[in-house]
Amino acid sequence: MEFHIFDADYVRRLAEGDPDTESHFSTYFERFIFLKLRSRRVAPEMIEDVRQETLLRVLKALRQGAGVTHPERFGSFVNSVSNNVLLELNQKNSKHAPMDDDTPEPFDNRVDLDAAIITEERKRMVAAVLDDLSVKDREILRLVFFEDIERTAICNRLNVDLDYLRVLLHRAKAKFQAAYVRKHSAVRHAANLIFMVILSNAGVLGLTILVRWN
Amino acid sequence: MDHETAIRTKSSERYAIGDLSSSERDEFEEHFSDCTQCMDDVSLASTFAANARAVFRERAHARPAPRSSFLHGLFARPLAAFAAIAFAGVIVYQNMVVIPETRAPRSAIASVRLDGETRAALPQVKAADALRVQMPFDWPAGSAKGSRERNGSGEPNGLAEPKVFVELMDTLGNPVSKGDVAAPGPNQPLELYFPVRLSPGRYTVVVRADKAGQEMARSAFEVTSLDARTP
Repeated sequence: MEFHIFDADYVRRLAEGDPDTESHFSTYFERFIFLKLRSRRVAPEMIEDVRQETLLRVLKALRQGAGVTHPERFGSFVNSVSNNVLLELNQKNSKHAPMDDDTPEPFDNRVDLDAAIITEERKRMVAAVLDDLSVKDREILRLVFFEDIERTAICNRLNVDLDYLRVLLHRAKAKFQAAYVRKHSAVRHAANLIFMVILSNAGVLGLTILVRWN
Repeated sequence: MDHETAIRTKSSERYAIGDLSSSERDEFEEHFSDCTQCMDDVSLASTFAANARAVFRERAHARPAPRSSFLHGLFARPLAAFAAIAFAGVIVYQNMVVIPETRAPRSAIASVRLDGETRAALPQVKAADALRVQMPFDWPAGSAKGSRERNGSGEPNGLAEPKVFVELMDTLGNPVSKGDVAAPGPNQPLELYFPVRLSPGRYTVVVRADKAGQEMARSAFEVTSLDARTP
């Protein structure tokens, strides 16, 4: 099963300037570029530059250029454009000779890339998930996330294999997801309930006024 | 990379913690740029990883240093340090001010009449009884204190209450209790209460105009043991 959302119709609407499609395009690939460049520890200012230049080039290619050959793989096309933009910006910012394609991107440890996605509410949920784990599992995640120790070293130290570590991460993430969904659906239900109460009170008030006037 | 492979290899979790090789990472990025579910998964895993890192960092900072001393730990918390200092202050105040005050002599209803050194047989007080005594007192003729602080009717002048210095001493002359007490009115006995427990023996009460001043009265009494009660 694939979860592709792009097709020829989507690309056509984007090329024609449909506002909803443009909005989706901007939101979806802004998120994609953030996730992609965050994993490479690119500085936030650079991420913003890559995002703007990538979206601009893609729209230009659709509206003034040759368009895309495989609309169903429109995401891959945007991904390729972002790779080129990142490479160009890196070369432009570097005073040294261009790097090989295989050279890993330099990490910028001065910036806190996590700040954008850390909130008190999320920390509370994650803390609850962590506290629900066994001591050993919690220690594994601490070594992975906080100590940033090599996975094989963690496995050797705590006598687990890499699959166990991945499954543990997957389960912890799933629990966090469930808590997140539960919390937000509860908030949504509460908001709906308050709205309904206000609406019904307004209705009763309106009826009362009508009855008195008649 | 197709979606099934991405799920099977748990690529989103591995991507979030940087556990994919360079080629695997590029393949997975190419996949999730077109796959909403995998992008949601990556986003969720990244959010979990970032917040877990923050939680572990906070817990590591909140954990007390294993080798820190009790005082170091105490003064790392200003509120606890303030409470400890305040508590210590109360203890010091009680020991240096309140408790000596409770042991000082004060005016009280007399229970034992002391007649001065002229009495042949000493008045007796039982060891377990409260030490309340009454002794004759008068300001010496021409006393500056008496004439300055009292008017003709014997009432104190102004707000200043005349006081005398009283000292209770044991047989060897060691002070057991001492301090200022209010002086009685004219032709009134001096009534004293000593909040101390005395062991059997002979004791003397000396009254002075002030701590180093002239002796104004002196009386002795004897504290008897409980067994020595007379019928």
